Amino acid sequence: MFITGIGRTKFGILDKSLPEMLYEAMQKTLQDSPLKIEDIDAVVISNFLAGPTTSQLHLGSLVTSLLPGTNLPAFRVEAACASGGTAVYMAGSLLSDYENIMVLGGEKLTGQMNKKIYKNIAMAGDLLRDQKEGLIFPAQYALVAAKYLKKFGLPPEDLALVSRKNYFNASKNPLAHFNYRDLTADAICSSPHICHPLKLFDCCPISDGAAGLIVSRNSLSQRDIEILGRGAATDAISISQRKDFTGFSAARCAAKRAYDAADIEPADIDLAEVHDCFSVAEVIAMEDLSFCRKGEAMDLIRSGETSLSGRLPVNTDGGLLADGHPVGATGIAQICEIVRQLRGEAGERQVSRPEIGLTHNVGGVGGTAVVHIMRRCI
Amino acid sequence: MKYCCQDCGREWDYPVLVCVFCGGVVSKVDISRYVVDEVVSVNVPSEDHPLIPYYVLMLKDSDGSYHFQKSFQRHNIGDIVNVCRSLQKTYTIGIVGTGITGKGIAEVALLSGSRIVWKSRSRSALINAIEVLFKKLSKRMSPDEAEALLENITTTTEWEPLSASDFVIESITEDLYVKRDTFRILDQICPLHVVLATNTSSLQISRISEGLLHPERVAGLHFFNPIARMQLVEIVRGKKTTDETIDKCRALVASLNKVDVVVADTPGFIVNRLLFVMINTACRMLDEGVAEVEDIDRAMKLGANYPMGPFELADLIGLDLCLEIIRNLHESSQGREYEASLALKKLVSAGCLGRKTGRGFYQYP
Repeated sequence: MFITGIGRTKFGILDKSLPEMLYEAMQKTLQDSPLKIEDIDAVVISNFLAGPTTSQLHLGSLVTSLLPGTNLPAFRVEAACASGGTAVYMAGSLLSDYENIMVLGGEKLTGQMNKKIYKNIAMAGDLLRDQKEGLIFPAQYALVAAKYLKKFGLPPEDLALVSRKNYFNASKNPLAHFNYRDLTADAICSSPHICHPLKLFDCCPISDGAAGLIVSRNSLSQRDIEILGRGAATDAISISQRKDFTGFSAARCAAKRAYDAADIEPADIDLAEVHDCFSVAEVIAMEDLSFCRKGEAMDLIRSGETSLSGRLPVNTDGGLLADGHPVGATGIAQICEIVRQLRGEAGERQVSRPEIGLTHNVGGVGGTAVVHIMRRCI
Repeated sequence: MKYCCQDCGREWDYPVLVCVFCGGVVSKVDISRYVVDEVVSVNVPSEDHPLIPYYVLMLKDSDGSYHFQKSFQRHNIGDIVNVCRSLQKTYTIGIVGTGITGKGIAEVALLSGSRIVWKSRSRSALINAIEVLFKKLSKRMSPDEAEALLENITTTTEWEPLSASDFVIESITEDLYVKRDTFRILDQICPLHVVLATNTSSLQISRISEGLLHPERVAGLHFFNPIARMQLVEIVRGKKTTDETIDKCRALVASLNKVDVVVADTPGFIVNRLLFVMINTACRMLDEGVAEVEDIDRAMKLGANYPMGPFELADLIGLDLCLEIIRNLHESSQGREYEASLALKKLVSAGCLGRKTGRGFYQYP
């Protein structure tokens, strides 16, 4: 299976509605692809919170409102922050029925009371175990961070390395939420605590945005990118129902399934987009994806190996931390970035001749994980 | 609470009956002893958790399973806690009176894991109060759990059992002399460490504690109805109330998952002093023909972002109580703004007391 077109909006605080953003992403995706709208056989739509936040559900039909008269089959996918990756995965599985599938994802989160948004995002956790006990999303990852730092004897300041790298990368991505900022270590470390040990710049922003791509059964041009392997997995929804707090078994399972399907080793990966909703999430992603051994991710990041010019550039678009996290779009945008890099179309942030790229999209605090491995068509 | 397969040992948090792995029978396991494994502080308010900072404790039970528990008190990793429905330091709270406020205090105290000694003059009032409480608790939990929680209440028609409390909260009629008698008895029977609190809304603490041997341990704890829903408690510092007593009151309020403000012993404290200027002024605007009831309410809701207008609120509080509070405030402050309006007096003398009688400024079906 191949990715034959990509497109996305800017991420950030946008004055556009969800349908407007989805339309823009769709239009850009079609511009990028040799396919026309008439060639699309089905749509998979990814979104997390349009229901509770903006009272809009039935998104499959909503998308068809943007495509008058087509009567396309359209399916909505929701898996919290992994909605995007899950939607692409589902589209891949639907290729037995359809030849070309448009995957669209988007989220409209700004323009609401923040308190309401924080509550809604917490819906990714268990209602009784997590939400009722006040375990909002940053608190979940603060727990992971506290456990991780303690287990490996690391200072909290180390986490700033992740934010710095990703903010730097975003400064080279004109569509990123924080495109204008090159963040100093001092600014990161002096930012206020959100949930100890996580500070403001350890947390991704609340963004609007949309992204799209087309998954096709057959390759249509030199610019197409092949999906070599993919894996999806889940785990108990509340982290309190697990035993391991310094890694996500769903991510490890999804990664193993993807590596096996692609028949490659972690060392074959040239660049990766990982789910850095919080700085610590990128750290544990390095280990869950077997890019290094348990407890060694911080060394990998500190050595600069995951920066744009390193051996394994990670989150070249700025990641969720600085590119932004319009939840339904995120997993799709990750794949768009890998496609762009593998094609050699990433502009200022282009890494040197990558062949194989990986995306890692996580829902909740490791409740869902989806991994895609892609290769440039040679 | 968890559910465990008797054959293969797998666990669930949900009341499943049969194990899907081995077909074994699943039964309920009760656990009450936990160790604090990790503490996360939360500095961001969200819709369901607006008060910050608060803490989320990760607790480990004796079987190695984990649970989260919200708390307003800091706990240390390694602390051992017994969980009822809360982890707060638990108190034995004496409550005198079985009215709406007494029942409300009993409800929040039980939910925060405290034990209660409940005193009333009549046995039947106590039986009735327990029944009401059972119905209230049953909305939040299963009848079994509610019943188990009610076992933390000792009822009494004697004064003596109250002496075993950490706090005694008096919530009886707003009559200085009746309250004084009550506190005289409490002062005699309760050891010195027991804080004696009154839920008065209009009387001065210093006058209630007049002539006691230990007025330094008397303070006001002013709750707001409906107590289970309203987050504020005004802690009133009498002239002789010590810092130690105030600190104890603040700890108690925190353990009830409420927020305190400390206020000097002045008429109406904070909330009533401000609120009844508005309610009484709204009533006087009616006297003067400034606007209709509905329009005044609408104006304050849409123009000042109040959740209820002054008349809706007055009807909810009860117009007789409103008039009594306004008169008390007038008596103690002589402020013109508390001269009771004609409209209010007329309604009260006509027996239209608000929601509870089906008619006040508005009619209720």
